Amino acid sequence: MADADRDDLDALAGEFVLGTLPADERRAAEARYTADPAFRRLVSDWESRLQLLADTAGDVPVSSTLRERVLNAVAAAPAAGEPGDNVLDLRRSVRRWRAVSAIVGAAAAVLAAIVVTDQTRPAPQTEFVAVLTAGGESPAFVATVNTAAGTISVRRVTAVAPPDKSYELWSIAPDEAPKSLGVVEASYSQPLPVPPSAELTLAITLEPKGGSPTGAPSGPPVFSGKLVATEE
Amino acid sequence: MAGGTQAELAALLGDVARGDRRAFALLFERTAAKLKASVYRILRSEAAAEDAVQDAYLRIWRRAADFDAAIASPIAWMTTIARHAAIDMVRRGAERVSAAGDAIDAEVIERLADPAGGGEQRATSDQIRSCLERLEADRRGMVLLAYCYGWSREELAGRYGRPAATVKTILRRSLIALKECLGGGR
Repeated sequence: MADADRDDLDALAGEFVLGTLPADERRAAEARYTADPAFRRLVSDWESRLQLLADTAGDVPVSSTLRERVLNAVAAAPAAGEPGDNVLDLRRSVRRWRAVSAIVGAAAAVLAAIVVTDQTRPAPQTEFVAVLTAGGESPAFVATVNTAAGTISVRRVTAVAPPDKSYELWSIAPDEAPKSLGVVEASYSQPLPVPPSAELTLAITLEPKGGSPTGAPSGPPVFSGKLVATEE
Repeated sequence: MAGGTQAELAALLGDVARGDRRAFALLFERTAAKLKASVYRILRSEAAAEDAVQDAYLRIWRRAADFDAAIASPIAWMTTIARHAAIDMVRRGAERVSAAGDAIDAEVIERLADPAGGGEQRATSDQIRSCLERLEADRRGMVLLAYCYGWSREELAGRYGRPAATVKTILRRSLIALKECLGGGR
């Protein structure tokens, strides 16, 4: 990584910890934290550097009601490691993808944001956002899911595939093999064969022109991220 | 506070990552007052602070497997999650009493001069204080308002009469200056 890129990444990590990133950039950084050990280290260093400032706040006792509320909420929540925990699912996916690929870390320094939202209802209660990261700040793709029509559309923002390659989009449900959603051309809209949910990871790989010949990804994802439900 | 050493907290987080609800209850006991103090400073309301603490611990529960004991400090990792939960509430429009601007950096720096721990922590605390004092007053104020009080770029832009994009640049430069002053590492 060039020095300038590394400095940018370090400043991004610093602002992430500081808390001043806009919401979409923060979510991108969170996804990156899960997927990228180098970024995780930069963030951890910032957390440690600034922790003394947090310590100046001292202690404020919590009520016993709060303790009960929190423990009850957790008793009802899926545990980390149980199905339904999408952060862990993402990490598993990332590990699985890495395990089948020797080309770890060679991916382009680009980041893709996939925004999945229900555009048919005037006031959706939940918006799904997934951020596909591979090492930078600017979005490479934006995808929209029309949940009523059951389709997913992807708009290319910055990413450009080499002339002899194609981008292929995959959906990865927990503990399942990646499912191809087809080659992403300049204008892409396809049926989404699975319901959009926070358990889904979306990933894009570079494949031979026309898509993977085997029906399975032939390389690591160059952009990937999980769907997260955001509150509106 | 109930406290617990970093190693104990890291071990608890490891158990929590494996779905251990008893470890989670212990972790809550040991860290909740500290996290609440951080979010209270941002939200300035008892009820909002307790909501943020609840949100934070649910995030901690879900993300415990993300915690990497080899590189991260458990309390610092949890503090980031808690501060982000509080900042999310503020950005969603939760009411908060705006902290009176001018007194802020003086207040935080004052407290840095009197850390709870002695010895080593005292030395680090002196160091970050002197590095903060080396920043231009506006820059120091921006960093402290953002970190301690959860101010956004836009809020800082309003207060310091600069465009938000400039605030972003200033914040990033100030952080890097702070890092260099602190010696580049931790």
